[in-house]
Amino acid sequence: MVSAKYKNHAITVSSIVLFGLLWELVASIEIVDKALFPPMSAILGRFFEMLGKGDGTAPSYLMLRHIGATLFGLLAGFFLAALVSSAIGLLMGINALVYQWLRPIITMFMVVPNIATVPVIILWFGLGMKTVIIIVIMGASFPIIYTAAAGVQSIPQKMIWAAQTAGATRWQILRTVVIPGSLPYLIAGHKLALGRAWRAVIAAEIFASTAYGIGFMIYDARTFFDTESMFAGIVVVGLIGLMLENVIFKYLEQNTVVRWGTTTEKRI
Amino acid sequence: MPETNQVKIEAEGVRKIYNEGLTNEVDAIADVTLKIRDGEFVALLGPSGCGKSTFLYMVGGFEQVTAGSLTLDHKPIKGPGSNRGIVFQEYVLFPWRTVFNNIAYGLHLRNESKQQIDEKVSRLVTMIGLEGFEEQYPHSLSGGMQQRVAIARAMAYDPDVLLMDEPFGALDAQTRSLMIQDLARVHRETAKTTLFVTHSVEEAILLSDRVFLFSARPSRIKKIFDIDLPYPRSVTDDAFIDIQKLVLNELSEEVGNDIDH
Repeated sequence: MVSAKYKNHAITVSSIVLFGLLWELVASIEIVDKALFPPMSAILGRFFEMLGKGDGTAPSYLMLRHIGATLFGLLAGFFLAALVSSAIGLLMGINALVYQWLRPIITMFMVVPNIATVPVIILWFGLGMKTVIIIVIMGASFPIIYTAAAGVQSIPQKMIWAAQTAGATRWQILRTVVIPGSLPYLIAGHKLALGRAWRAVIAAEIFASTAYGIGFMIYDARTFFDTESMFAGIVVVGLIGLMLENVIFKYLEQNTVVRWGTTTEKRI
Repeated sequence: MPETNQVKIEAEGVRKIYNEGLTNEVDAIADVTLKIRDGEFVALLGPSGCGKSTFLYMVGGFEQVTAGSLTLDHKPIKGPGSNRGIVFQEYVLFPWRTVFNNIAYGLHLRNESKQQIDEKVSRLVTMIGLEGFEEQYPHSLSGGMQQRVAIARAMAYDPDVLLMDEPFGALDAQTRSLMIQDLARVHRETAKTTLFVTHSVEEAILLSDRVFLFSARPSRIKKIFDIDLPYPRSVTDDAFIDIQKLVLNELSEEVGNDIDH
């Protein structure tokens, strides 16, 4: 079991390293201009340069400030969305009437690309972190609502009956059956939502950020034809995303759905 | 079985129609009138789709009667409650609870003390023969073991009536015959009023004091058989075979009727 786990980690790390090497190779052939397609070594070099104390022309620990701003916007928006949307979704799953009335509205909003709402949110709330967080909430909410409702509906009627017969009140059924029973769906929905939240936070920062944030950094670097910084930003988003996914969700899944045998994903 | 004649469950002209007045209306139960005594083990036997499970669900309080009266301890059944325990064919254990916590579910709901819960659960674990499996999750158990846990879960909070909906229907033949023996033993020990829905004549006769034979849909009670055989019962006893023939004859008429419809 343990060796299989380490093998999986090894494969994860190796595949990323290999991708980086391939990038380096392609860039070094110079099919494309290095200024447009910088080698991975230059991208990482820029990343570490920005991570450290600046040389006076740029603020020190600049990369950390960008990462910090992005993570704050991402996580604040994601957790607020998780809280509110889980509640809405569970309610939709429990109550058929609520489901029938909310589903059309939510379906409608779900097909609207997140970025289409950015201009109006900026008009309402101005530039800055508040706007970024609101855009992230809007991006992350819908998958959670949908999957939470589906999760509740996946619970067998007879399981509810078994709980009622054991004397469970409505509140006890919610706590002891509905929430754990829809957890496999909730986890899948939150994974999806975190992906959406990443897209939203970067898009929001491009338009609504004033000083910090990886999205802002990427867009700002465009002004100076600084492709190395742009790619450094992209690499950072990908790596942090991978880490969050592996750390938060893997841990949560191991201790719940995998242990219970109710996981929605096939185990490899 | 303690011979009390007190009526535990009484059905008087019970009728059940699903989706009444709609195009998908189903006339499930035409008229069921019966009395079940306290401590009795009763099998509800009939062709598949005959409404015997529907009747069980009405006793469970999950479904409402369309007409007639259905009482438990002379009070109309209004909804589910912990004076009944239920076991389904599909086990429906809580996958997120260990064997111990599945059995303890009803006790947790009542906030019983840890000591009390430990005591009751370990007694039940011994009764169903699952010592050592207390900390396992249901998905790692065989079907027979899961159904044992489901039975223990239904009995843990000491309900008056045990409702069993084709509980051994999903088990292989060998496991099933073991479970039948164990259930017969448990019933003799606890003397709980038990309603056992089945389409297996063999199960019905091996376990019950009386067998209620349901007709095809819309169902009525076609016949009641008193099974006056000593325990342990065996499918090879002459007396068993005689009764089995009798019941099978009646049942095959109904299965034939069902096909004619």
